[in-house]
Amino acid sequence: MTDAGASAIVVAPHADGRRVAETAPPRVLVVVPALNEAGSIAGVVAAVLRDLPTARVLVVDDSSTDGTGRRARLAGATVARLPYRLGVGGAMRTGYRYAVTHGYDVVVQVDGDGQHDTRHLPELLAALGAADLVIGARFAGTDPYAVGRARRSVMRLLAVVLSRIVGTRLTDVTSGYRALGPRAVRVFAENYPAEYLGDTLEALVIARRCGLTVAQVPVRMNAREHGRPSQGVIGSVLYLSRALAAILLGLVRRWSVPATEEGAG
Amino acid sequence: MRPDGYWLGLVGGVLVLGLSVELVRRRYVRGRLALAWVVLGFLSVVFALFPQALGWAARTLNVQVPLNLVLFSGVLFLLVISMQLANEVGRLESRTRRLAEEVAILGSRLSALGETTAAADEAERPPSSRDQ
Repeated sequence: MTDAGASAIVVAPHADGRRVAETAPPRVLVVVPALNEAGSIAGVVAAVLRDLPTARVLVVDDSSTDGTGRRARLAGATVARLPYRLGVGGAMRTGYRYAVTHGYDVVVQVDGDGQHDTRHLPELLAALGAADLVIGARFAGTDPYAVGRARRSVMRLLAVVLSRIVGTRLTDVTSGYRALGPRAVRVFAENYPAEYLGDTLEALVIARRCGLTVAQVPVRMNAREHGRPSQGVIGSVLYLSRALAAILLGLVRRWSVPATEEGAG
Repeated sequence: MRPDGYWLGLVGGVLVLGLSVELVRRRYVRGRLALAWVVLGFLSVVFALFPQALGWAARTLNVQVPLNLVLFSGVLFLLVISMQLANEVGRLESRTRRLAEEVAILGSRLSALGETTAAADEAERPPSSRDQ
């Protein structure tokens, strides 16, 4: 080990501690799905590493054209770049598969636009002790996050519907701020829809149907500049129908429970 | 004594048969779908050659107007084909999606390897252009 000799391929660089840390990777992987977030991605990665120093950050670059991947790498994240756009669902399943193949037990999803306050990360992880899937929910406590009234009532309705399905009281079912335990990671590495709203709503239905337990933790969210698209009444109705379609798909589709688990099909 | 439409129908039937066979031969359609296309081409020629066969088929199936049998089976055939295609597209989509995800993961692993070797070579030569 002390003398590498004249080998062309360097197998192990000189021990400087970092290599040792990499061979025994931390078991928490923070996955950041990002599409053209060059302005905020470096800050998000830095914030995650600050609030969760033992975690590894994987930025799944959904074919950004603004150098998001490069900035994320410079900020200290591992970057997986999708060859073409798959949406949040595709990006997240890439993250789950990465976690499974690299031996991570826990995956936390944090959005690349900086709306998720990373100071809540330890709370999310702590709540994983009692549940397989923990949602960082923004209406659970008081927070300054502003949405239109129509949109807000739609989100309430969805929350009620999904609370019924999942069997736990949930207040913010479209939140992308989530932590997943080992069982959930294995389920979602195989079954994760790529459609719009599939990654949030349908994923909860899948969780239920695969026998996972769900919990939520109140979080504050930062305001984001480029807000959600439709906030009017018509937009909200459209949104609601798409959301219900996503939930129905989740209920109707067949999902495969990983072989190592018993689960309720 | 053939009605005028006879030759037109025959030309059409032969055309359909030729196209179906060619589709199969070039492997544009495969499996059960290939069989369906060849059967379609064959039937169209048979009915073009023997128009009375259509009348007979319609009577046995209790269809009043023979032409309606043609239209009905045509629509049915198209429906089945389009369902088959939808099924195929969905399968291809999920496969390419999986490939894309796999490519992303492999890419991240590759660039991690590149960084390791670059760091090791740093003393000897300046890092080569590693960016895409």
